[in-house]
This record gives sequence, structure tokens and C-alpha cells, in this order.
Amino acid sequence: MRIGKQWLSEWLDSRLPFEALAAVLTRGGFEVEGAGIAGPMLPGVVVARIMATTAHPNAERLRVCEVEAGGERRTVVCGAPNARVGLKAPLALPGAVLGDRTIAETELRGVRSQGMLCSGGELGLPATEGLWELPADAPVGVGLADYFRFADPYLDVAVTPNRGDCLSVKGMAREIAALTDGRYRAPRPRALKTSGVTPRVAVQDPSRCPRYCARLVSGLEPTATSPGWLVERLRLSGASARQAVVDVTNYILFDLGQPLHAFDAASIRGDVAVRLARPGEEITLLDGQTCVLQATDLIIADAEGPLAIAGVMGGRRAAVGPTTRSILLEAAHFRPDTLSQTARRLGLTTEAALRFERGVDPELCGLALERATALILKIAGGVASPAAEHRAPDYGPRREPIRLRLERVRQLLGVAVPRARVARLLKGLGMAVAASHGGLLVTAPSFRFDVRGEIDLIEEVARLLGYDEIPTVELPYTPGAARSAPSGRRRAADLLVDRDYQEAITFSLVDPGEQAQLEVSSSLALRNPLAGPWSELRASLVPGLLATALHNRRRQQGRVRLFEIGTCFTADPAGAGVREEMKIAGVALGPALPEQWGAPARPVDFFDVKGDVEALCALVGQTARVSPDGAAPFLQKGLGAAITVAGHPVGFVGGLAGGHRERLGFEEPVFVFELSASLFEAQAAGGAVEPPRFPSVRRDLAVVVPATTAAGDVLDTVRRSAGALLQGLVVFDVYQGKGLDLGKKSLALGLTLQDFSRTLTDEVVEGLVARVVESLATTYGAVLRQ
Amino acid sequence: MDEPFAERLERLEREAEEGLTAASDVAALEAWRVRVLGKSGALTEELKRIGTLAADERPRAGQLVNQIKRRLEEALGVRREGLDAALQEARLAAEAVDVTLPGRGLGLGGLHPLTKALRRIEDIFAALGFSWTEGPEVEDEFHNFEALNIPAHHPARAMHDTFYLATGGLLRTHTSTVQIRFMEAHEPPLRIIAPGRVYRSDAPDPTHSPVFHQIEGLVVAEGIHMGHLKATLKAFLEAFFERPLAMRLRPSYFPFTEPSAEVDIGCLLCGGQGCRVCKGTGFIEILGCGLVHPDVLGRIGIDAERFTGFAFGMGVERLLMLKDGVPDVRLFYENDLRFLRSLR
Repeated sequence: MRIGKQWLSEWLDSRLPFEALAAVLTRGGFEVEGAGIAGPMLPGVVVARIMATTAHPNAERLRVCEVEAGGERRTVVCGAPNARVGLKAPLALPGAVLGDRTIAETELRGVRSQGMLCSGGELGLPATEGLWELPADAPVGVGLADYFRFADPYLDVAVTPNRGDCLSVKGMAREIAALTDGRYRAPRPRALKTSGVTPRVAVQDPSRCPRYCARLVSGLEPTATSPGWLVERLRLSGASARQAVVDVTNYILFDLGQPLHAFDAASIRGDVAVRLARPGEEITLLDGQTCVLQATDLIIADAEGPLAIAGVMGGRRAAVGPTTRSILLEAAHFRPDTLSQTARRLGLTTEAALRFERGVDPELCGLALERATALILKIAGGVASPAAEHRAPDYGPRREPIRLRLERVRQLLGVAVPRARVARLLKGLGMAVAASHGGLLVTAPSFRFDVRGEIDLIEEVARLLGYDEIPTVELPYTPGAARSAPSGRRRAADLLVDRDYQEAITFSLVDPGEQAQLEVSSSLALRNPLAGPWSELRASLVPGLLATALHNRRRQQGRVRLFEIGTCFTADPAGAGVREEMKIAGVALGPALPEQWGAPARPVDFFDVKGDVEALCALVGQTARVSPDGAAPFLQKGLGAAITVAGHPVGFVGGLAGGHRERLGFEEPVFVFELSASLFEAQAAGGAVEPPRFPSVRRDLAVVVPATTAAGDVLDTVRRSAGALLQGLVVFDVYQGKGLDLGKKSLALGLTLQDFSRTLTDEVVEGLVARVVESLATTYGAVLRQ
Repeated sequence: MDEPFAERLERLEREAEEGLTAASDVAALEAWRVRVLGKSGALTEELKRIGTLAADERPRAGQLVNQIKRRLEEALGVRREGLDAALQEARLAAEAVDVTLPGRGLGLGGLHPLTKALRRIEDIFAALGFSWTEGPEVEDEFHNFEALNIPAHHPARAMHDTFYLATGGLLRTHTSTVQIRFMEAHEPPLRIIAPGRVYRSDAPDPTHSPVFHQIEGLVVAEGIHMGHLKATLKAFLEAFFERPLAMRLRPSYFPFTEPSAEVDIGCLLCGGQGCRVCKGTGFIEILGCGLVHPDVLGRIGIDAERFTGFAFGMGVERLLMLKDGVPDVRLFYENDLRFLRSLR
């Protein structure tokens, strides 16, 4: 909200220089987001009046205007369609600089032009259609910036949602007076001369509309324009001038914080009522959109139906227009919850709704109505009727006194504040303060919706005291954290880093199309997604990692190895719940090793990545068992495996299927893995093992088996038949080809045998080897390779 | 005409010594040994001849031959050692490499800058006695809003541009949800931090991301006041930014804390003089905090008269952007390897 210095001074008597105000507001909890002067200084731009216009002799679109500007007459050629006799508009005199253009006296198609009549946009101000039509009170010949007081400085102040009472210049002035030693000039109501009939308004829902004041103003001059000061204050507040009546209601909103509405009285049919809408009733709003109302929407209606959505926006049917001569002027208080529900449902954010939602002082209606009426009468003439006034007796913010304990102040702020000081600070905010045992009894003013309990008063004390007054005190020492961050996850990440993977962090919102392509949908779509591909929660880290790999691959990164640890989501089939699971996944493509001398360059393959997975499992003392069945759907057949640990499925590893590779635009094989991170929360089991005192024995076997036999099965058979003496088992060669029958392969196995209680004898070793060979022969038809 | 025995032996020894010197490798040395000291070698032959000498000459001659034999054997040993050492040296010399060539093997990967920052933050708070916890990212209205004093039509909801799931539930807009979940499950005293991802329906731009990270802190115990909050934040911020910092608390508003504050630190770039980063104010906003609202405690069943506490929440990306001069929050999620590797 912008607050101008001169506007503020109407409400505030303060010795504090305006320049010092920003710091005061910041300390008081109002963030100052900007500052400046109201408008451009525009030297050489003056108010001019068009005295006569004639057609340009040589150009159809141009007119030759005789203008008056400060006692001298000038001829100005102008192309604006609204150039007409009597109009006041800005005139840039020769020598004036507008942006990067210097105005000069020139000849336009044979006619001398001594300056330029300007639109708003040409002056760097809000654009106008054609010439900027200046208010009637603009003094001819005076500099435009002087007339509008563009030199006046302003502050742009952010008001937090709890301080609706500060969403006006009046409210801000009151607050600044409390924060400084300034004096707030409380408004003095002045009696208005009224005549005629009081309008009839039926408030059918007083609980939702506890205050409703309205009056008729008739005999208005429809062509009246707002004076310059009002136009400028609206512009400073971010609004633009329209009809004088509407300008006044907007101005009162920014000045007092009370939203008002003016209805064209001639368009109202029958009596006015404040009531809930009937379901299905429609209203076309001022902005042109038509809304279908519900039974929870509060409206202002006449015999024909809705005229306005209460406190949010008026309807088009009774809108004030260029022919309006009489109005029904409304100042009311609507309950915030009803109004905000309606505004949110219809997506309407208006200055009025913003203020009602945050709380408007219910005692403000009368004052706002009187001031608005007086201003309208002054600008547009007319006669005001007596005001209708409805008041639900029991409405308003809590006014019962709140007990404030000084001990509680000390307990929460860590500093004892003397009773007298607390009382003085709170009184400055307009609170009524009385002494009470151990503290004070405090009654908040009607406009402080946010002060409901003791804690709200303590906040006010802290704020006015200044947070710098609060001491800095170390927390009492408690040895160590009771629970530290999960080390397993950290260790897994570190292991992958050590194995040359770079961690990525990708959005947990992904493209549902891509998840569907990969058949890993979470079925968890957003109801209100942003534009873009982020509309479904991820079920797997793989889509994000593939996209990241591709991003890098397209940026000259030939070798990409990425991993991510993050939450994945699936719809819980039981009820509407969501299952969240921390996963760890990786992707690798390009050469297995960084480019280097002396090592053959080869692309990364399945076993490189499987090795990484096995290392991850080994972290927690687990052996990863893989099976070609049950691998992820996007892995290539024969190149993908499901991983189980201790009998539980934990993830997968494999090569991305060719179809997906092509679709995504990868030119080389891509390997991925994904594991449940819960795996790493377990601690590696087992105690210390003493080194054996007896030598171990190594026996190598080359067995020939059908090529289709899974090595894993062979190893399992060896383990089973060898029993407890087998302490190590490696595959040190796999061979197929010359010297072997077609359809056969040879597996070279190294067995390390160890007896912890005695030296192994040849007899025992040979017996064990024979048992292994025998069982391989029976199970797979294996023979020893000669 | 036989040369006298002694002279012949003297010549033999001289010639043998010359031969030994000339033998330049192991094979030549062996050939020399056979020729001189072998079974039919020159010296052995001389030994055999002793029998042909007069009986009184024999002892002296024997003695002489044996002395020569011993000397030559000794010389052979020395020579052999010398040759072995040279051989060894030559072998080792062949193992030499160009030590300036690059090493081989895998490279070293890296953690994401956000993970590194999160770990640092977690470690700093662990040292301050804070326990680590986390909560779900998909939340309900109660934990994200209502329990935090943000009822359905509260204007503060407009500050949280919330993503809702079509099937019900929402994506948490802040990690403050974990405050509630932790307090539901644990009795005071509590001292926790809760890092995690949060979601706001903001289109990505240099300072906004629909997905980002926060760290929430919560302390609830007897005797906790605002002074503890100030000291804790100062200790953390100075540890994180690795320098002494000017810190100020500004009154602000969060529905679930009261009094509430925004925390500013002295600008990291200009040190408080005023610059582009701090928009001339000398301060930069770093986090929000406050005393836990008694209604929040009461709703969970914690006696707010007996227990008081403070809470704070901060954006991890923002902290890191300020610390390392990262110009655009989107860089963290684009995951360009060249960026990720730049923040080691």
C-alpha cells in the first residue's frame, strides 16, 4: 500500500521527518517495500486548455488546436480524436523532454505546431485513450507536476494479513502515531444537511450483515469530474479515475479503509434487500463476467434479483454510468468468513474483499457514508437523503477486557517490563488499560480484530518495546541430539559419490505423460497444477533422472552418472491415502571410466551398475539377489533384473528398453537402478569374527553347463552342496565358443574352503569338491571342463 | 722346460684376476669360474700337479695354491655381488614411469549443493542439541493449516498457494506441519529440526520454484522465551555463514507464532553499507520465526501455561543462494553437471 507524505499529514501530526518513517515502520512490523516520489517532474509540461479547433488543411486525421497555456496562445497540431474545445490536457512546450524525445517547435504538413498535447502514456504515466483529459479544476498554465504534486514522496508499505486496520491512510496514520510520539488526528464527524425520503433496505440476514447504512443522493451532475488531488491520490493507490461518484467511493476506501458501493438509483426496481442468494441466481459483474450464485453467497438485491455481491463487487445492472443522476450509496459491514468464501470460489480479488476479509472496523460505516456524501455533493452537486441504518446489536470484535499478567510478559519475552511502561505502550494503541492484580486489564479498540487474548497483547508489548530490547540467552545445554539424521541414507549417498555418481535433485512433480510412457504412474494428479509438465507426483525417481541425464547429454556431457534420493508416491489402495517411500536411484550412460590413457575405453554395462547396487546392499551387510523376472516395465528384456534382499523385493537394475531410448533421444545404452531407501535404515548385523588360525584351501572348477543356465543358480547349488566350509565363491571366467559345444558355456569358479577348528585334509577337500561336482552334474548336467 | 712352479702360479693368478675383471655378466663369470676354479680348471690342475713335486716342496706348494684359490673365490664373490647389484638396478630402472602422467580409475562424484547445505544445517543443529525428524509431504488440511491457526477462510491461506491432489489431500506448503506431527507424538521438552521438501503453486522464475526445501525448528520446554530464540538463530546463522553477523528481528505475522518475527542479517555482499543485493537497506531477510502460539500448543494438548517454545522456518535454497551467490533458484533443479560440480 502506498502512503503519500502530504496525504498522511492530513491524519497525522508528527515531528518525525517522512524520511525517517521507513525505519519506524520496519521496526513496527510493516515491511517497506519501496519508496519514491509520486510522479515524474516533467519540466516544460503544463496544463493547457483547447480554445478552438479547426481541420488541418493538408491532413485529414490531424486537427489544428488553438490552446491557452499561461496567458499565451499557441497553435498545436494534434491527431487525438478527443481534442475538443474546452478540454484541458497536458501540453509539452518546446524544449520539454519526454523519455528520449525533445519536443521542438515544428511544422506539420505546412502548419506550425508550438508544442505537443499529450496522452498519459506519452508522459510516462498510466495510458489514456487519446489526450489525457485533465480535471476541470486544473489551473491553466501551471506545471503538470506542480498541479498533481508529483514531488510528494511516498512509501510502499506491506501490511500483514492480521492488520486489516492498517489498510488505509487513516489506519496507517493511527499506527504511526502509536509507534512514534506523533498525534493521530481523529476524524470529527460533521452533520450533513439532508432532505427527502430515507431509502428502505431490508437486511434479511443480520448475522452476515451486522451493519448496513445507505442513503440516496439525487440531482447529481453526470459530467462532473473529480478534482486533481483526488485523481492523483487514486493513481498513487493504483486506481484510475472514472466517474466522480465512483472515484469518491474508491478514495474513501483508500483513505478510511471502508469499502463503499454506489448503485445507480434509477436502475433499482422495488425495495433493496440484503440476503443470501438463491441457488442458481446469476449476476453480471462490473468487470463483465457472469457468476452463478450459491445459497451461501450474500448479495444486495432488488425486486428483479442480485445487484451486487456483498462486499466483493457490484453488478452491471445498477452500475453508475455517464448518465447517472441519482445514486444509492452503501456503507456496510459484512462478515469476513461468508464474504471470503464467496470471493475465493468465484476467484474475485478486489480491494473491498481484501479489506473485509481482514476486518473492517464496524464503527466506520457511518463516518465513511458521511464523508463520501459530503465529497460527492461538493464535486457533483445534488441533495442527500437521510441515511438508513441497520445495526445488529451484538456484533463487533471482542471488547471484553483481557487480563495481561506482567509475569507472563517476562516469561515469554525474557525481560521484565514495568507495569507503567506496558500501560503506556498499550494506551498508545488506543487500548483502554486498567490496573489488575499482577497485571493489567486491557480493552482493545473496535478496529483491532487481531487482539483477542493475552498473547496478542504480549506481541504488541514486544513490538512497541522493539525486538532489540529482548536479551539474547543461550538455550540450556542438553548433551547431544537425541536422534540424529539417518546415517544410512547419508552413507548410501557417499558410497555413490565415491563410485563417481553425481547427485541430482529433481522435482517430485513430474509429467504424467512420461510416467504413463514408463508405466510407473502414481495415480496422484494435482487438482490445480501449474502450466507445464509438473502435474503428477512421481512414483519413481527414474523419469526425473532420465530427463536430467538427457539434459546433460545434450550439453556435451558424454559420460553421465547421476543419482537421487527422494520421496516417491503411490496411491494407497486402502482408502484415499498416499504411500510415501524414500527411494534411491541412479542412471549411468557413456564410457564406464572417465576418458584416460592406458585403460581401454568401453561403454558402461549392466555389470558395472549391478556392481554399484551390490556395493549399496553390502553397506548394510546384505547380499543383493537378482532375478530376470519382475524387473521394471521400462527395462529391456534380458537386460533387466528385479532385486531382492533377504527375500524382500527392494528394487531393480537394468538397461533402459530400446524403445524408450529412441523415444527420449538417447544415442547410447542407458542403465538405471532404483532401490527402496528403507534398506539403509537397517544396521549391518553380526559381531566380530576372529581371523582363522588354520589355512584355507582354494579349489578352482571349470564347469560346462547349458548356455541358458543362470550363473546365479549354479552358484546357489555350489553354496548349498558345499555347506559351511565354503567361505568364498567367485566366478573368475565365463567362456563360450571354440572348444565347447554349441549351446554350452563354461563357468570358472573359485572356491575358498575354510575350517575354523582344524587344518583341512585333502580327503575332506576332495570329498567336498566331488560332492559339488556331483550335484552340479545332477542339476544342470554339468561336466568338468578338460 | 718347465717354468718354476711359484712363478707359474703367480702368472695364473694375475691372468685369472684379469679374466674376472673382464667378465661383464653372469654367464662370463660362470665360464671364468669353470675355467679357473672348476673340476678341470687351471687351479685344480695345479693342485693335481703338486704330487709330481719333490716331497719337501709339496706343503708349501699346496699352501700357495690354496691361498690363491681362496683369494680368487673371494674376488669372484665380490664380482658376483657387483654384477647382481648392477643387474637389479637395471631391472628397477626399467620399472620407472613418467610420474607426471595423470592417474587412472574412476573419478569422484559429488553431492548436490542442497544436500551439502542440508547436511551442514543438520550438523550445526545437532551440535546445538536438536534432534532430527521428518514428516510426510502429502498432508491434510489439519496439519498444514488448521492446527497452525489457519482456519478455512483465514486470509493467511492466500500467502500459501497450495497444490491440492485430485484424490484429496494437499502438498505441504511448509515444514511447520512436522511441528504438529512431532508434538502429537512426543511430550515436551522438545528440541527438533525437520528438513524437507515443500510445495507452492508458484511458476518457476529466478526466485520461485514450485518445489523447494525448508528446515523447520521447534523448541518446547519450560522457561523458553524469545531470548533463547534470538541466541539460537544467531549461533546457527554465524555457523552456517562462517562469520560474525549483524542480526535483527523485525515484527511480522505468522498465524502459528506470536510474537512473530522476520530475521534479517547484515548484507553478506556489502556488509551493511547498502548495495544491489540488500536493495540499499544493508540487511537481507533470511527466515521467519516466533514463539509457538499458545493455541497451537493447547490444541495438541500441551499445557501452554507450563510449556513455552519457539519455532522457525527457513528456505534452504535461499540460504545457499546468499552464501554462494547462486543467481537463480532454477539452477538447483536443472541439475546441469557443470553447475553441480562448481559448488564442491
